[in-house]
Amino acid sequence: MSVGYRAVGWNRQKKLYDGSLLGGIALYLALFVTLALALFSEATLETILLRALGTLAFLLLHVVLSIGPLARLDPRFLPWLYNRRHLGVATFGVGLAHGVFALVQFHALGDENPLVSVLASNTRFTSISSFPFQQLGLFALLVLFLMAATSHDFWLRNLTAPVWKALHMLVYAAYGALVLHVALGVLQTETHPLYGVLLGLGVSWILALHLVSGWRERARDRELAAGRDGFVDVCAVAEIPEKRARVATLSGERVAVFKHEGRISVLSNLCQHQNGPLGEGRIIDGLVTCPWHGYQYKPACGRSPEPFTERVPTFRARVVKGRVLVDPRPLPAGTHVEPAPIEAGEALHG
Amino acid sequence: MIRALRVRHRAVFLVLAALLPAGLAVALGSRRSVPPSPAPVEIPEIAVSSTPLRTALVGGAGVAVLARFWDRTESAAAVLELRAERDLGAPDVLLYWAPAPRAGETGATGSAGSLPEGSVLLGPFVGTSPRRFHLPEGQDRGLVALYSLGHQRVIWSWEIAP
Ligand code: FES
Repeated sequence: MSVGYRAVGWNRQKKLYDGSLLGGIALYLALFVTLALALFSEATLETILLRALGTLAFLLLHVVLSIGPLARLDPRFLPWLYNRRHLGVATFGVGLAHGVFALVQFHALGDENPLVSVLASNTRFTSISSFPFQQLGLFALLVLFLMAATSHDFWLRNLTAPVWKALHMLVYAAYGALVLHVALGVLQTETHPLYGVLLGLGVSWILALHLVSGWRERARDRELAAGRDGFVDVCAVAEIPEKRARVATLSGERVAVFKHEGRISVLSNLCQHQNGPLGEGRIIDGLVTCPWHGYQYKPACGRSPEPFTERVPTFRARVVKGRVLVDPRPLPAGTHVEPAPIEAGEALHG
Repeated sequence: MIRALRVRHRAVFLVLAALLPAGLAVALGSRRSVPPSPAPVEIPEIAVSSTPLRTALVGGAGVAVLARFWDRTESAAAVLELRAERDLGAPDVLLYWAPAPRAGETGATGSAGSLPEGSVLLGPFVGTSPRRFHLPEGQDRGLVALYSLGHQRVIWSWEIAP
């Protein structure tokens, strides 16, 4: 949440996160190079570095792709989401180093432009064992570049969160390309079963995580039907913990029904920042707080406190016989709606 | 994430779940037993006379290299056998041969660290097992040079004269 744009809004948590990230990267590279030099006496330092960078970028991408579904499945992983973009940019940086290294090592010693050499030296697309796997890596690197280049909030705001998210879903195509880059590249010559097993485990992990979390989300997307007066019976007041929300799907999108100080407020579940799930956040200091990066909104009007300008749509609600009824038609973002009072008896249950 | 993107996300992962394991199985299943990239080349099958003509222990790149110069009985080409006692400690080492200048010619020498003009690549030189290399036909005088592709310089050279 920022008024103007800064390259990075550093705070203690970000510094700690990035420090650990850089330390982890350095440690991995040092360990990989030391072990490889000790175990494979015939390998050259160039080849070892190339592989250290390649495996690290691939590993980092697995971590990046695991954070989203893990946070959906278990809120204890939410802190990992906080700086996921920094992890993504680091993944691109390491991948770029691997790519440049490979370009210099294998394509820069001829009289052809190295990039042209990558694209033109092997065009055996119909062969499996001699497939031009480098081009798959180049494609993935371009996608990671696009994501790193547009990762800043400037692009997020100008493209809007749904477009930005859709663009960033290209990472799944990049992941598929990288799996094949590894399988059709280095694993064609490195035939020790361990490498194939590790790659298979990585792919299974990512696929299983995303399929399971996607399946759970599908169940939560089931829409509730409106009653005769047009209002939807979402849940009992007692089902909503104080200062927290219950999420329901109305009119094709999710809403967050918050309970606070004996009243009910309903907001769109989509945070304006990166469409994070507001309903999984809490009310802190009287403000709905997004669990992903901490953007805040006033429960009654869906506006961020001054001087911030974010707004989310609000919904009319009422409480009848201990049940929360919500009008599924969204009001324009930032519209004030008087919070629905909970009857005295119901407040005690909650 | 908005609902439309959640639906797209699920569809993308159903497609990936179908394609990636299949792609992986095909890629790993169709590996050739002989790796397509140039692996260290052994040339043990070259027929040579039973005793080496010359054997020399020379120091190169901080590592002793045993060089034997063999006569090949059935042709005019000679065979050179090299064995490093320890790893040479340089990346991508290649073995080159530069013929000695004939009478009346000036010797072709490179600048410090570079290969002499007219050098001929004999092959990659890695590991510590003995390796044999054909010399160009009719040549048995010249310079043997180990060149590191990684460092882009000659790391060791040795003159061979009958
Ligand atoms: S998605 Fe970033 S703060 Fe809500």
